[in-house]
Amino acid sequence: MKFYFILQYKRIYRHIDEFGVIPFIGFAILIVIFIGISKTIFSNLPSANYFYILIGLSLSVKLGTVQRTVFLKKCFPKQTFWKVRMLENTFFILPFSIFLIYKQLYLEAIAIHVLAIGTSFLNNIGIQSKTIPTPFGKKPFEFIIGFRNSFWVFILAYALTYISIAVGNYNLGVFGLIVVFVTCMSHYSKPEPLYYIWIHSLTPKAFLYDKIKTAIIFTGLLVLPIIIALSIYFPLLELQFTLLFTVIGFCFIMLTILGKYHNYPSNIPLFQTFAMLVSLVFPPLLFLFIPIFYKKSIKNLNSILTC
Amino acid sequence: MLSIHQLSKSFAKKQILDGIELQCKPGEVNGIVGENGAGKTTLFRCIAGLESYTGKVKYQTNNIKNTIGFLETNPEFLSKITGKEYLQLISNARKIKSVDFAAQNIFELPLQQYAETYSTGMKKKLALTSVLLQSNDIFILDEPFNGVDIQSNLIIKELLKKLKEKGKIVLLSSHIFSTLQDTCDHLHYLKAGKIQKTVEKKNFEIIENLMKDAALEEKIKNFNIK
Repeated sequence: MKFYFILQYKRIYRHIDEFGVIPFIGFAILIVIFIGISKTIFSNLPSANYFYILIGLSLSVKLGTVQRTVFLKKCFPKQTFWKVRMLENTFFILPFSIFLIYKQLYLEAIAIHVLAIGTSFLNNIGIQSKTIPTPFGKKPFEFIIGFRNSFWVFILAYALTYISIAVGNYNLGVFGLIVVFVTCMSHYSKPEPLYYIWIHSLTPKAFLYDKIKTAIIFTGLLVLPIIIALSIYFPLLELQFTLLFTVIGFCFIMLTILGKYHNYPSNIPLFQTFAMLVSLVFPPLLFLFIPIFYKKSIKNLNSILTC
Repeated sequence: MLSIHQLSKSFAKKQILDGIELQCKPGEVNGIVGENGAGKTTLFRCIAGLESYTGKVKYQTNNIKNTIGFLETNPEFLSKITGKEYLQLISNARKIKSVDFAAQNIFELPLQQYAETYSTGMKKKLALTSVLLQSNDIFILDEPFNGVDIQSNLIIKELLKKLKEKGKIVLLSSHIFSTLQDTCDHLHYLKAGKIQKTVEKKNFEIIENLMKDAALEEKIKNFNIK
C-alpha cells in the first residue's frame, strides 16, 4: 500500500516534469492556483461554503471510476482495497479541508472530510448500461461525450443563474455563464486518435470550419438560457457585459479548438495554455493568437487529411 | 489499380518496411501474411496515409485516403459514444447521408449501447460495419477475422465475396491460414520488411510451407523443453 502511494506521487511528479516545469516549482504553482481559485470562489459567491464542498466532493468521486476500481481490486486484497480508497479520498480532500479551516469553517471542514471518506464507497463509476440522451445526436463527437461526462455541471450553472436572479447578484450569473463556456472548452481538451481525423473527407480548412461551427452552435444552445435570463433580469449596464463575456467565451472556444490541432498529436499544450492565460488577462490578444493557431493547425491537418 | 512502389518505412533506426512493391487489381483480394512484427499493420497504415513513408502509393485519384476504407487491428472507440453514434460519426466524416443503421446492422450489434462496453469481437464488427457503410474503392482490413465468432467469420467471408463482385480492391491480413485460403486471390509473404514471395491461389501451399519452415525449423528445433 505504501508503495502504491509513493508510485502515485512519482506519477504526478513525472506529469509535471513532462509538462516542462521543474516539479518543485510545479507543485508550488499548483498550490498557488488552488488557493487563488478557492479565494475567488469565496469572494464572489454567496453560500460559497456549500459550493466549495460540492466541488471537492464531485472531484473526489472521480477517483472511483471503473478503470481505477478494476485496477485497484486486481492489485490489492479486499480489505486493503477499501483502505487505499479511503486514504486516497482523504489525501485528495485535504487541501479543501485545510482551506476551510483557514476560513474558520470548522464544521464544513469536518463535513467535507467525512463525506469524502463516504464517497470512497462509490466505486465503478462510469459503468452505465443506460445511455444518457443528448440533444447533439446529429454530430456525435465532442459534445455528446462532454455532455454525458459533465451534464451535472450544466445543471449547476443553470442553478447558479437562478440563484443570481433570486438574490440579485449579477456576478454569480456571469460565473454560471463562464462555467458553461469553460466546460464546453474542456470537451476539446484531449486530442482524439488519429483515425478520427483521417476519416474525414474534408480539406483542413473545411475540417476546422466544421469543428468551429459545431462548437459555436452547440455551445450557443447551452449558454442561451443563461444569456436570455441575465438579459431580462439585468438589462441595463450589465447587458453589455453579458454580451462581452459571450463574445470572449466564443473566442476562447475557437482558440481551444485551434490550439488542439495546432498542437496535435501532443496533449501537453504548453504554448496553448500560455496563450490562454495571457488572453485571459488581456482578451484583445485573442485576435493575435487565433490566426497563429489557425495557420499551424492547417499545416498539421494537411499532412493527415491530404495524401 | 493500386500500385505501391519502393515503399519504405523506419521508426528511428529500425527499418520496418524496405522497398515494398505491390500491385492490387480491382475485383481481387490480396492477403498479406507474416509473423507478428513483420510490418503488416505498418504497411497498411502507410498505404492509408496514417503513417509517413518514402516511396509511392498510386491510384487513379489524387487524394487516395478518401477512397480507402480502413479497418484497424484494434479499433479505438471514444468513451460514451453508442454504436449507432459511432456509425453516424463515421458516416458524417465521409459525407454519407441518411443511412438506415438498423437495416445495415448485419452483425446484429446492440447499437444503443456504448461502444466502449462492447467485447473485442463486437468492437471489430462495429468498426467493420462502419467501413462497409462507406462507398470506397479500396478496402484495407487488418485482421478482420481476429476475435470474431464463427458465424461472423462466415458473414465476413461472404462480404468479401461481395466486395470482389463489385470490383473493389481488397487488402487484408490474417493469422488464420484457412480463411486466407478461402478469401484471397493472391498471397504476399512479408518478412524482414520485404515481400519475399507472391503466389496465386493455386500455389498457396508454397507460402504455408514457407511459414511452417520458418516457424518449425528455425525456432522449435532450437527451443529446449526440459
